[in-house]
Amino acid sequence: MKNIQILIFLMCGVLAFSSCELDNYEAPTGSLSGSLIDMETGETVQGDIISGTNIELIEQGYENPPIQRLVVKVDGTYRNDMMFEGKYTLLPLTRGNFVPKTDTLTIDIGGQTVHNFEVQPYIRIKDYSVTIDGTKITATFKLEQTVDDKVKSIGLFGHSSPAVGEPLQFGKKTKTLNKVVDPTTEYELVMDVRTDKDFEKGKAYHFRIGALISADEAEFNYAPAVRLTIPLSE
Amino acid sequence: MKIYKLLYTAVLGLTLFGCSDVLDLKPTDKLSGEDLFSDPEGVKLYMANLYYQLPVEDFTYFHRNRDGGTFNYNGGGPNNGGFVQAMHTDIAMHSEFGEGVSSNSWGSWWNEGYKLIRDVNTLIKVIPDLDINDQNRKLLIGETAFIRAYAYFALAKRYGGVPLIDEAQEYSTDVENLKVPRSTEKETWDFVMTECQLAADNLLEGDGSQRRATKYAALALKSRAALHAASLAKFWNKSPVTGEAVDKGLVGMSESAASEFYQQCIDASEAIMQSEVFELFRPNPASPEEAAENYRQLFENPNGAPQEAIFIKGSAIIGNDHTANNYEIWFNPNQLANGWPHPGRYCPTAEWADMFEVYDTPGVSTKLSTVVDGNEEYEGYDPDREYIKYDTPHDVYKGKDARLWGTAILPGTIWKNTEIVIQAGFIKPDGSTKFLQGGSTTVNGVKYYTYGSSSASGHSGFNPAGGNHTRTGIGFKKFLNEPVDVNPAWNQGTLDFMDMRYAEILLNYAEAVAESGLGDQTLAKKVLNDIRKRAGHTTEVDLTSENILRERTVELCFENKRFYDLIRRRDFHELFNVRDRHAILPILDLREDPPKYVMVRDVVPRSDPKTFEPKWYYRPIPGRGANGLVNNPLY
Repeated sequence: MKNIQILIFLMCGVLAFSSCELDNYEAPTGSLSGSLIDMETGETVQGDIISGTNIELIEQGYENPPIQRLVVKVDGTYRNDMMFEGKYTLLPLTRGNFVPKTDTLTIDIGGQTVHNFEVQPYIRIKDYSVTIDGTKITATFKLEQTVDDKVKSIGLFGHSSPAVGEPLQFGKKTKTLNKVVDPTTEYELVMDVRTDKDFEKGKAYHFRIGALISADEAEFNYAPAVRLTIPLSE
Repeated sequence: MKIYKLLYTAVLGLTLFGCSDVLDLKPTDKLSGEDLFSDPEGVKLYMANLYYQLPVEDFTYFHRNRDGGTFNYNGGGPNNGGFVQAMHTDIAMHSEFGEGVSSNSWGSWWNEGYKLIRDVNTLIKVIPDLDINDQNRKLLIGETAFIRAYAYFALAKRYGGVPLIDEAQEYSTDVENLKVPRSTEKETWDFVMTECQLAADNLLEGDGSQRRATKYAALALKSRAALHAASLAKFWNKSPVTGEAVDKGLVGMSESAASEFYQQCIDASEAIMQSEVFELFRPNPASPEEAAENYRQLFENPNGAPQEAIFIKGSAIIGNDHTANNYEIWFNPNQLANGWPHPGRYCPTAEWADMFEVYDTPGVSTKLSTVVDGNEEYEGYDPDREYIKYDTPHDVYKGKDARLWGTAILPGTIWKNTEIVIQAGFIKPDGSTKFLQGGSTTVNGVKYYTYGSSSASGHSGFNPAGGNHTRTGIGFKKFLNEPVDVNPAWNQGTLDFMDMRYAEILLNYAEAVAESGLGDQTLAKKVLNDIRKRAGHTTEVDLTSENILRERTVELCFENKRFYDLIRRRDFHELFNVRDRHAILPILDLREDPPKYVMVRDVVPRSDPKTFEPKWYYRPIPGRGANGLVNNPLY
């Protein structure tokens, strides 16, 4: 009897262990990074990170796959080091501050894949300067547009974060243009933060000039942010 | 060993005989479909359950997404926390929490929707075979069509084009057959229209006192749904999106569809107007004060206004989580909490108050006058500016439209025999200020407190303690029961809710006429002004989009309409782009003797700006892993 009991016990043990295999899947080892590059000047195209451009990918080889989205940062670069290696369908890059792309590509993501996008930004902000006098911040700039649509509006945005933009601001000064602009016209926007409690004297804030084209689903084009400190005495 | 063999065979034999009819036994605690529907009382029982499941956005409507679905309760009871959808728009704030437009502003109603549709389809199938007379058969056809239309309207509003299932599906082992693809958005709204019309054609006339669908309730539903669909078609280009759902027509309708739907709205509204069954409640007040009280009483007791109510949802059972509501405990001002720990949640905003007309200068929204130089676009107190000095903290609201006075509790006015104290601070005689903090000062031997009284229970504004005090400077009294003291217990509210009322039909009509150019312009202008006359106005305004939207917002405020107006007209993303909401701070000016009040505009204390993302115009489709449906854009 005791032999049979031990035998049954051992059999149960063998059965138990053979039915549970370790189900640790491999961690993702792929990486995809790159930038949005101005096809004419070669510089990276700045944008918003909030509600900004997303790189849309669909992993191949699955039924009903969802769209994976990679967020493009304010400086125009993106990176995801936690992708699974393999083939992906890269959907056309749209919904940004550039002329939408139309080509669907297939990319192979490996250990360190870099994929840059050459884009044509709707508007380039040129000859810009942002200065402060007391609590008044003055921005002067020129606009060069690359499409025939009208420029909808221009703006100066201020925030404590260098990712300042239209969706991330403590204060702003905007102006509606609704016209096609001439690259020689100089624009000026003045923002006075004297009574705005979000701007404290003695602290530094970032200010960025932006311009929006009137195309469907377009985002703001920006100049790089300028860091200014609000002086203590007026 | 032989014993084991015998035992083994015996056990095997027993099992063979044991499982005979076990799977064919009928449950003794359930009714079969045939038994239920063959008895008219059984049909009535079933119908009551269908009405219970109707997605009526009433007092207990909880708009947010939560596990297990939305509607009718939030964590143990209706209105738990005092959250309403109006707080996700520009007209109201929550006193304590950061409610505002977000991906969570309107929740999923997918599983619940298709459950209701299946239940009503089950009844629709048996109607031809029931042993009832033709009259009752017609009524059943009409009533089930109404319920189905109501359910599909709620789905179409949230998701755009949805699978149209008009027959209860039979389950077989072939799962693929159960998957129904989404119809286009146009097909879905067309279906809502035909179901509404089928209901209207078969139901009897009647007013809101029926508590069940009537011909006019079906037409009112059609008027509302048609206006919604028409607006979506007309204003799509204000916020166009791209993606697979758009390419397949699952969301988005062409502009030409707009006039079709506007015409349907016009026809349905005219049918109600020409029936002569309905009119506005107390349409000719003698004074604005009387108009304000008339307006308030319409909501305190809808049963006293059968001429205006088209479809009422009644609450009668106290203590039942899913029918009675909790408006009284969460929304009455802090001074009248009567022991309830979390009152005062509903705070109408300064932008809401600014929308109302002033009787002396009618025809435009007139901002409250706080500064002498008239430039009301500012945020925060500026000691260098000259503020208008008022004798009382509610004088600034004098001369404003009666509906403001009938909806809100203004600082220093009486509610339930108590003066409601709402004050944000004071300016000392030397010009220094103490705002939005506790404290006191003595002037000429009299002690003054920043919030208006020495203890938190003596005032109802701006004190952050418990989040129980209004932080916009305006209190709330629409839908509250004045004569009855607050009972600090759950589920005591039994005020009935007018889901559809005549004023809404007139506003739908006016908007449809103005936006499409179809219909009767003269009649539309007349009914628009009838609504204003009921509110004490003595002049008329023209039929313009701006006037209609203002009337709609102020007349139907806090009735769960504003949110959908912003959605269907694609105004939400323009209105909410890093946008703060604002308060009117009553400040006691102690530099004057006797002290006067100045009103200061500011961002609502402790609040954040909100942004509306265009993808939120539609909800994402749930359960896609199983149903394989195309998701909405940008999700």
